[in-house]
Amino acid sequence: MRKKVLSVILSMAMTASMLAGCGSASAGGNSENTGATEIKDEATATTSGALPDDLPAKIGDGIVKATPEMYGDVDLSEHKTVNITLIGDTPAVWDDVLAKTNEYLEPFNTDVEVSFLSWSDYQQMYPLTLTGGQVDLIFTAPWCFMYTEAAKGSFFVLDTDFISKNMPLTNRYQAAESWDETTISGQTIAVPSNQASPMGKIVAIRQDLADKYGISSLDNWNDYMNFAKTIAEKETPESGIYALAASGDNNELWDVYRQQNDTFLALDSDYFDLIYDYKEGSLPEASDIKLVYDTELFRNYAHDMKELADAGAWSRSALTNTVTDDDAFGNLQGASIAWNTSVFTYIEQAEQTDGVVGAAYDLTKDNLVGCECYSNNDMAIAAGSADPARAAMVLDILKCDTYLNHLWILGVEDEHYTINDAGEYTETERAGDFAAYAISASWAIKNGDLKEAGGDPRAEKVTESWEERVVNNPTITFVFDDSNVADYKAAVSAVLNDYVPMLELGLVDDVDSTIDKMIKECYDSGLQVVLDDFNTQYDAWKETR
Amino acid sequence: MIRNLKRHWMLLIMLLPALIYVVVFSYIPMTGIIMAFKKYQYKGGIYLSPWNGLNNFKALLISGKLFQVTRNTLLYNIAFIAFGVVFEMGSAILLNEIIHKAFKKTVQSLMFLPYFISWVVAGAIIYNVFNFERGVFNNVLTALGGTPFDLYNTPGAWPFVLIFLKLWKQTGYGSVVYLAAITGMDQEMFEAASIDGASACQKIRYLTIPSLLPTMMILVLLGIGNIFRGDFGLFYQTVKSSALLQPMTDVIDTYVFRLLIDNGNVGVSAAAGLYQSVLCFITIMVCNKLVKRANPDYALY
Repeated sequence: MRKKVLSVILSMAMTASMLAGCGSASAGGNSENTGATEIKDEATATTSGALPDDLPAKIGDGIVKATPEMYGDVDLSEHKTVNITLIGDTPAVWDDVLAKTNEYLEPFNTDVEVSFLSWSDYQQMYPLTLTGGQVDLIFTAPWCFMYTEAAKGSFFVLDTDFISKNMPLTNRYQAAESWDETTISGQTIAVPSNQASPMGKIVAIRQDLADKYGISSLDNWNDYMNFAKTIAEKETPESGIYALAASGDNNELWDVYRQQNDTFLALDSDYFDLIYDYKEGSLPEASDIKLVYDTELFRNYAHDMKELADAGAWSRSALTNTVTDDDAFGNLQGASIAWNTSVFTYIEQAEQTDGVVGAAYDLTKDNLVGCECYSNNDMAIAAGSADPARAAMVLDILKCDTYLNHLWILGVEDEHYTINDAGEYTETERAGDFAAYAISASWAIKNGDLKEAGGDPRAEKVTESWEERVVNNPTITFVFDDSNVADYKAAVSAVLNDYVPMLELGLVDDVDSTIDKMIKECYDSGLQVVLDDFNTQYDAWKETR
Repeated sequence: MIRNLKRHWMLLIMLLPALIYVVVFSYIPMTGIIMAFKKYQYKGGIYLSPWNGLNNFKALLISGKLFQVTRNTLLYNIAFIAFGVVFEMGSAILLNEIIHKAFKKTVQSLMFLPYFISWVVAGAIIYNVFNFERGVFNNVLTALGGTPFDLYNTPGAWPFVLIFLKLWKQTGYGSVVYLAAITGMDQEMFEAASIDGASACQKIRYLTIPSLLPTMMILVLLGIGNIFRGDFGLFYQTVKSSALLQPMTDVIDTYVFRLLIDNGNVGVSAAAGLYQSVLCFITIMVCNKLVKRANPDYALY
């Protein structure tokens, strides 16, 4: 199971406070951006009249207050309820926040009802929720069924006219280039977040255990291997703590590993990932884009993983283990985890026990740092929505209205957070009831204007060097439309689902022959058909660049 | 005909609820079969989604899994039926021979008990017993000086585990039917045999077993009718989602479930379901015909 679900919990809060946005995509989107497509320019032109003149130039520069007058094109005559579905667990004081939301939406003759699909079963519940109807707005993401559901026509298609009429504030403030990331074959199916930020992949370890065995710090991949093997050999037999309490697969560590080679993904669809080596200043040729598992890089990684598995770095039952490695680290059952700055959340959790000291290391200090794209978290209007215009209005207010936006991201002011004169927020002691960036919607409605005062100095140390190495994935705005080859892609994905987890967990007898067998089965299932279609679409897209 | 209707209107009204039940829950849902030929979209739902020809079946074939899951389903069910008959009938006969009433009741209750344990619980127990590092089984094994056994990474061991589990759960329940059949037998027949000097073994061999054959045939036929239907709870809850074990443990039902839930592929999933139903239909028709030819009394219909 991929851990992108965790990519933003708190990590956003931490990195956002330290770093400006990526590349040209400045935090706090701005429709005057040079990357604006023709369509979006038109959209801006048609609506600017509807908004008052005293709005700030960009979000974060001043207060934005949505009023019913801004939504002249939305029929507000009837009172309506907009049903919103989010993933993740319900915060303790959610009812309070919801009541405040509905109070605020009264002038719009609207209220909202929100249901949460918990982390433990959202993968089963998500498609069922869309099937069942009764949902107007839903959280989505490339890691959360966005492309597969879009192919099934689950999302309402947002055209220029619709956006300009029903989402005037988003139309004004949303970073123009962000729309390309959720536009498949000319159809925009979701509204992406309004912030892109550097997101390096790092490892967190139990420093107290490392010290016990004379390991002072980790500088590169070999150091990590050495740490894991040392823990497996000396600590695991003694205390039962695994070097890495892996669960399901080892995808997070793989992201750390592949950072050594400056690679980017041209297609990121569950295990079906297409990869290429980054070359500065040029887009990759179609022939340079390969299935991840067909590369030497992955083969070497699989060998390393087998070495660790054989050494006993994780349980032999890791494939069926359902306790995530993060939770295991927090509960002191694992000695390391890999992912982005969200690892600090778990370090803090582990450190609640006396004597436990955590540390995080960037193993690829000489390599590029990728950017989390706008579309990594999105909100979509369900195709079955009874009133898409009303749903769009609610989303527009959530994204851009300062009060509601902050309420959903940070909770109630002076209760869960305080904000200083410089506009930086600090979580209060009661933030446990509603932590910053706790609900999934907050990742999709963020604008990059909220910065945390202070923050974990260790996180700062790890991330401070990212800024000079950050690079935007050059192919991020290319979105593969797999509807013509969906059957073949599903068949290949099924093969990958079978093999990749065990390869990543090193639970195979012979790495090379298993990979060869997997690749052969992929081709038997029509991998070439999918790649051909991908290449054709990619070349066509490249022509337009 | 109309006269009959008039005469039996009361009986017909009494039949109505059952009829409505079958139509609503068995026949109307059958129209959902068309999903197998559709490109399912939420907007159109079951009936209004666009047609997709035989593409869903093509996708099933491309996946290359169809043979594997069909083979597994078939082989497991053959084993379940064969071992099931032997164990259920055997235990019924043995139970019947027990004269001590309290002992008989206790044994029967203990055998029946697993039937009430859900597969979820059974799966959790198995996991905790056979967990590689912390399981009871390996703890005992290592304490006795043996090398630990890694069940969850040994696909070859699973057929034995699954057959054992299935028998553990169903033998008690299944033997009740045979026990009832034995109790219903004409006792004079056994008395006559005793007077003629037949031993207990001979009575079983020449009286009990032949008298149980019709019951056995019906149960086997019912079993064969479902031979392409896997016990979802058993296969899903005990194996969990381990891809490593799937070559040996994936049955049509778990495959359909994964297609639907993991891949969200409603059309292909429906196609696999239809494929399974057609196989079931064919087997039961053929089987019934064969039995009818051999002995019309044993046929289901």
